Amino acid sequence: MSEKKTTHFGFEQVETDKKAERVADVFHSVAGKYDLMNDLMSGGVHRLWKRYTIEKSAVRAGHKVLDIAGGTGDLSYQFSRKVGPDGLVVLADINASMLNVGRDRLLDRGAAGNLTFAQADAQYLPFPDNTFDCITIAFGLRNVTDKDMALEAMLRVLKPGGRLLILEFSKPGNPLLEKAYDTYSFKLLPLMGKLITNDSDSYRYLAESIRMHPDQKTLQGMMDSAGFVMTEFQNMTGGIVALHMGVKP
Amino acid sequence: MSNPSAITALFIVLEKAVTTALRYDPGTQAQLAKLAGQTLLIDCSRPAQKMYIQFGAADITLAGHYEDDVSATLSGSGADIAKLLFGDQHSLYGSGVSISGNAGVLAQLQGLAGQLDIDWEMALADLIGTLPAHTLANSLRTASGWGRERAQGAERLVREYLAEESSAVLGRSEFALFVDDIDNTRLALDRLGARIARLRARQDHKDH
Repeated sequence: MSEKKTTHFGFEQVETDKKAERVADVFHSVAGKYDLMNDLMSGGVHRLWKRYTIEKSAVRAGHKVLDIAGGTGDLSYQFSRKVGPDGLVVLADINASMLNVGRDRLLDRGAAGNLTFAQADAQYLPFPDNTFDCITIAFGLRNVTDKDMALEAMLRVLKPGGRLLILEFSKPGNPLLEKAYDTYSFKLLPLMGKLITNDSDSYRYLAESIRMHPDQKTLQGMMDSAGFVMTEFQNMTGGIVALHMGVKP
Repeated sequence: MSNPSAITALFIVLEKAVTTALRYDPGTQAQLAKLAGQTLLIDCSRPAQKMYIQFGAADITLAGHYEDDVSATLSGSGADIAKLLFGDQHSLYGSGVSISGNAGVLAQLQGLAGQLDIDWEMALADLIGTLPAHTLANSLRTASGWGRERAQGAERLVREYLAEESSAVLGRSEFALFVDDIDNTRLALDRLGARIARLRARQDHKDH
């Protein structure tokens, strides 16, 4: 009898082929109030992290940008303004509920023409080789079942010289901050989830998945192994979040 | 390296402040449109921070990271750069600030900063309504005019007391007379010196 492969889903071990389904359930549940919860959970600071990511992307008019796990479209909206009518932004998300919320929100804000939407799995990106000048994945990589496979897929669809930016929760550098952050994540966060979306389990998963995500150095090593060059990371808010960058050779 | 979250937050606050101020000064906003598409780098040495100002048609964008070419770079300490941009100085000489690239961008920006004239009444009206804003603005203008008159009156009284009553200092007219007297005395002395020199020369000539 063959043993089934497992992976983590927060602190829980699940069969590898079940993780995507479980993650999808979480995001179906939180999609409607995702923005509100993000603002409440981070005190609005997630906007600063995303704005810094856009600055570091150096995206300009005419570029093609892939925003993986783009969710409600915060990054895609700004990219759509930057690339102009000659550029293209693809908002991709594996989760249909998140993608629908993102699409409606972007259309409401008047972003159209240079924006397309794709329901896509980061591990199997449905785009030709060497397509994009820039790929971003903000707060999405930790939910991907096989991160190495996703990094290789991103490398494939990037143009040579194109850059990947990964914005993700990481490991705080200061032990005191880490302690306070743990208390916040495991006590306050599920409570807020319960009050606002009546779903504490999903927010407990978010907190657990952050702890299971590779730390800064490990993720940088994974990017190197996938074939990216000039990899580096920048800690933000004491390392609660880190922005990793790499270039396709 | 500085904290990117804090710097980004600061840039957002500055951007909002400038955009709001421009909304209440359409003249400056129209002038700013002439700079659209230009990027100015402020390379501050103290505190060490780079700030890229990207000019749009009706607003500005601030960034700490930018990879395209910039129109001009202004380098110096934060205090020196602020003094140059918002003060009366029109030359870089002795300012502690250096510029590279298109200096015209700086001149235009300096001109804009100097002529910024925000319509505070309109800003107030957006917050509390037209009528209350006008009443409040009128009251503030009256209070400010009264304050200015009182300040000028107080200054005149102090000046008169010091000059006339206590004689502690000279009045302006007395000082002018005093300076005129000195000038006249100096001229008379110069003439006297010249005559003496001429008489001495004549005497020397006779002796020989």
